[in-house]
Amino acid sequence: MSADQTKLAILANAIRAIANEMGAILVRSAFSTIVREARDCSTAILDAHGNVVSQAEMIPIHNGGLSEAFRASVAQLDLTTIGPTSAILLNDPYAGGQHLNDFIIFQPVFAENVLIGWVGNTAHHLDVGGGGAGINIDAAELLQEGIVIPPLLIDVERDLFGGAIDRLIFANVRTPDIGRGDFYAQVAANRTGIERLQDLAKRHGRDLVVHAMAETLDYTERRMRAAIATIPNGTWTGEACIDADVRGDVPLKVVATVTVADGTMVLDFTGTAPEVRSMFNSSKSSSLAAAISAVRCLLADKDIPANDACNRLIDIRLPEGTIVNPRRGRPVRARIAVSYRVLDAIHEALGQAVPDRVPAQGFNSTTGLYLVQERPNGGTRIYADVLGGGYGGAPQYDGAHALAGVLSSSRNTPIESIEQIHPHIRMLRYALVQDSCGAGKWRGGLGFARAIQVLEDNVVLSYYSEHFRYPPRGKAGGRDAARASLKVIRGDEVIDLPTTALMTLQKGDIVQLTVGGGAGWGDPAERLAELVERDLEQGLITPEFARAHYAHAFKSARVA
Amino acid sequence: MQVGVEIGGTFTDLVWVDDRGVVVVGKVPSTPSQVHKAVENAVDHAAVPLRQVTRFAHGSTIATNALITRRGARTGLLTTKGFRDIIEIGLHDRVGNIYTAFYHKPRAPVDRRFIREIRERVDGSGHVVEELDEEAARREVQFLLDNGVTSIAICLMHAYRNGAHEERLREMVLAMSPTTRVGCSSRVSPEFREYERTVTTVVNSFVSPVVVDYIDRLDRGLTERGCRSGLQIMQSNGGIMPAEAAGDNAVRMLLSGPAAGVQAATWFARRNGINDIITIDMGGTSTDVAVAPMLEPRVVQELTVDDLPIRTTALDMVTVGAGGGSIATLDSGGFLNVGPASAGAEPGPACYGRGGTLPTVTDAQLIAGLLRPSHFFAGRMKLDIEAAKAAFASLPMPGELAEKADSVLQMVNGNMAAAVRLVSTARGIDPRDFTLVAYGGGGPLHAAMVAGEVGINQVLVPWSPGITSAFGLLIADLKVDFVKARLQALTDETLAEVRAADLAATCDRYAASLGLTKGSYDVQTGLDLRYAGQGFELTVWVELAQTSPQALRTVFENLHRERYGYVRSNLPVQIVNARARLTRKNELNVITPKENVSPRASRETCDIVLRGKRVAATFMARSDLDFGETVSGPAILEEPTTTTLVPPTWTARCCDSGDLLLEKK
Repeated sequence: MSADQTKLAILANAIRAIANEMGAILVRSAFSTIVREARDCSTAILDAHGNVVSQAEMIPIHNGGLSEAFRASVAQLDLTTIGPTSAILLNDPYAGGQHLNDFIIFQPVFAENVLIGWVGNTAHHLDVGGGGAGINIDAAELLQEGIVIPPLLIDVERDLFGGAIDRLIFANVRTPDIGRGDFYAQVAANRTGIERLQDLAKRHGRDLVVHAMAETLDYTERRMRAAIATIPNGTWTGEACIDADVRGDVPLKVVATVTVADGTMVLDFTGTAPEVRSMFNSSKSSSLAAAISAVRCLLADKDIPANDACNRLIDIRLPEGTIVNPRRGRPVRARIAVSYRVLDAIHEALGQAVPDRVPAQGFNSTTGLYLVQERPNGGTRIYADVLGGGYGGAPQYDGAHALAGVLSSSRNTPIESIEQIHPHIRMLRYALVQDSCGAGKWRGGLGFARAIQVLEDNVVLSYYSEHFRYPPRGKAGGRDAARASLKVIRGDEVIDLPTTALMTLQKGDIVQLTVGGGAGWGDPAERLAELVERDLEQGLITPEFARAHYAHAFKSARVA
Repeated sequence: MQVGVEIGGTFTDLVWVDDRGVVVVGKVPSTPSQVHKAVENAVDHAAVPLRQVTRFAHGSTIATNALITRRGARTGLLTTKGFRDIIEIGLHDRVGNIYTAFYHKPRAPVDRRFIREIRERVDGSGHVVEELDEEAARREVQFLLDNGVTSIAICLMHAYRNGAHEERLREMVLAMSPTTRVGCSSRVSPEFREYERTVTTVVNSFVSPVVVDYIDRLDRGLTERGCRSGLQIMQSNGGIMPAEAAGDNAVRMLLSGPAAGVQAATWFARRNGINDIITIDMGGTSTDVAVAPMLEPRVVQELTVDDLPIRTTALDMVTVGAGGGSIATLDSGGFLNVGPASAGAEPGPACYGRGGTLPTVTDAQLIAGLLRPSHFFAGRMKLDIEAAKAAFASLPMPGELAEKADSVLQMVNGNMAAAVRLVSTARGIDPRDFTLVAYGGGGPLHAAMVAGEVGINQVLVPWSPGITSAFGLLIADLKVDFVKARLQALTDETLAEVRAADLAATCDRYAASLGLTKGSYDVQTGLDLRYAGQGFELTVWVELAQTSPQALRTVFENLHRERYGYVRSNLPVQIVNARARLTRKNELNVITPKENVSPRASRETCDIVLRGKRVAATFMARSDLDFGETVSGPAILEEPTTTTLVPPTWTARCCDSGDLLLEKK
């Protein structure tokens, strides 16, 4: 590392700071709770070729997705005439998008009239039209999920802020004020990125900044290779399944065959279930992001920058026509469910290679829950919740309770904020669920429950979740975690609903969602008695649970 | 006569003003096991005439340490039925590292079994939808008391709107156990967002008995020595408050040390006629950077301590893990990293000779020639250059030792420059018109290089930069912040309501309780505003009596454009909180003494390494620079607690005030 290298390292830090600042602007000035609280968005700096050089740490499922979208856009567009006010806009999941809700916008960065890179970001829009507000669980084809925007070359000043594209898109959306709020926040984030990058080029010279981008990628590749090289060479296969899709009643399997060879990897998904005619297909970009994140979250080196070089060493093979790479036109709205099984399958395989480094299965799912009310005076109220669950145990690690899943980092919306915005609902409970963890030498984390009462008529519930049938699996002798459930309580009646459903509620109904915990790692008989005692004291587990799984702890005098 | 005492990790600094207005300084080792002892030692050491003291201002890390080490009171929490796990669930997001399957949440400052649910409910507009079940509540309180809980926090849903149930519970607890400390969220942090409000209230209850006990002891010790004036405590907002208020407002003391330093920096800038400053305070483990346009430090309404969000008014500060003890490493990709890991004070940098073997920033400064082994700390501490070299030899990167050291210093400067950009550029402020004010042990050594990186042409190194935080206590104003949630659309009617509720009157009542006469203090009022639908608000300071919704909207939108680059003129604006700040200016007249100029012969020329080049620099004592005298870089100015680097193309001038002004040619 020479003095020049120091300079490059400082520039790499500066570029990362720009991506983070873009992220902060997007989140703080956005309008929807999905962007401002759940942070379902990402910001990035790309080099002139469209490789992501730095991506803000916001949400793992967007990892690598932006460059997929950029490549698909380049294939469809003529970019020879672009200028400072040009932008590329898209949401097409078959052109590198993830699902229609994610609006992606790239803008070029010029320094002294030379293109030095791009800035870009993606944000989840609350509603994008289609057959259902927020979500259309009945969709059998992509078109029913909302407006499709193929990669478009637009002019920001001409086409947005009341221009033709702006008007067209938001005429197709149920909550245009919120949508525009988020969209303009996306453009504001890009503008900041452009200014900062230009400033950097002015201070350090255009060529050095471009050089630093390339070096950042090479540097990341070196770190990634060193990290992967800690896994022994070999080939292992793992699988995982989702409960079922909307129409079917059978589990859908994801199969991953992982081959590690001297710091490189092949992830082959041959054997995975065929695509389905419902929203549970995982778009290609989502599957790629899930696969890379699955590998990253096991690596000991936690500070590897998030950029395209992470993907260089991982060859991901997604057979076309399967639920991890559906053919054009299939719906993908709930793609995250299968994306999580991509992660689980990879972990199942790598658990055979490095058992001590792979946790038992966490709840590893996102529950998307919507309460929609058409207002008598027009307009739509959409309450949206994005929830995680418990984490899996691992050696020296009891799983975390009630946390956004590993592909997500969604913040929950304050209840006091929800009740301000939505006076037609009241939160009755938001609490950990006792005994929902899998027992083990290292236990899983607890799941949690939400009980929401609707105070008015005409509210429609729609949601998707996971693990209603098949629980998160324990590892190395650890026990499975509890399953999730959704019940609607109507007076004395309790209505049990499946993994995904749509239901019109009545005033006074209580929607009670329970998400699952994480599974346990290692034989419960080896759990230290004092840890059992502490879990009991804290009320995390009941005495019955403790007696059933940790009988040994009762032999010691400490547990009564 | 006024006194300021600041307790740091290693030293306790005392500053007082004698009857001629001249500052006297004392420095004694801190006494971590009996914290208040160091204050008394410092008082004795500096021979402070305690009987004449009219104000004794104190800054302490007691609250911060109690929280970080989780050594607070046995605390209970009463919460609304259904919401026992507000703290454990937290924000449900993953901060710091999103790529991990092994996430650890922040440790709750309250045991889950001492979180008890109370049947009651208030809705979002403040209406009671379920009455308080007093019978059941009594049983829950009894359970806490039976289990030895000595401090109880009460945080109920929507209590920022209607605190009646909290107040009733408070009375109930005090009736059952008059010695138990009770804190209500509607008093401690009357803002919406239940997680942040609960954490703030619980942390307040957790540390407050520790703070009260500490202040009682200190107060007793000072009184026994004849001090009759009221003790004053530093807060994170940069102002002091009376010590008796600290118990109920313990969270306001968190991270107050750096705030005192910023306050001092504005004082030094003012006396040199400088208006806009960015401060850079480099200590042993980190560097704090803050911004004060027009000498008004920017504030934020939330602090993060040990991953817990605390709602309290604090100076807007960016902290980077770049201090004298920060360790340099090479990562697996071959890039150099400096910090955040630190060798701290023990074992400290390798050159301290206390057993440290890892290469640190101070070692780099020594190897690059910026520090002279025999001149450090006025010669009272000998630096071991061989140990520093051995540490750098172990850093696996190519090049001479001096090159490696230079790379480390460049990296540190880069990290600090990034922090300066975060508090300025990222907040819509162009730093190039600002003056950097550098203090703390290491600030003056890096400031000019950092300034160069961000395009700043002027650096102020105040008098005695090693004790700037303690000096801040001496000159700090009394400053108390009040807040009340509103959550209403901004209209003529709601603005009238805010005026009627009048936090300014609350300030007046508070001032009267302190015995302050009208006219001896100022009251500022403000509103937190956002577009309806946004999740974050911007604070606008205005005279509420004389403003209109239109005028407020204009101010808000200007601020919004500055921060986010756009406005949405067709959307309604919402009032989130009303704010008020009581300020009583400290009119103290202070003269900072200057040491006598010694003969020029003490100047020497030695080689230093700077940005890859070896250059000959003038080394001299800072005190050798006479009033109005200028020295051209490259030069190194030494004084007991710090060293100032004047790079090539920069000059340093001793101002009439005695402060040092570095300017780029």
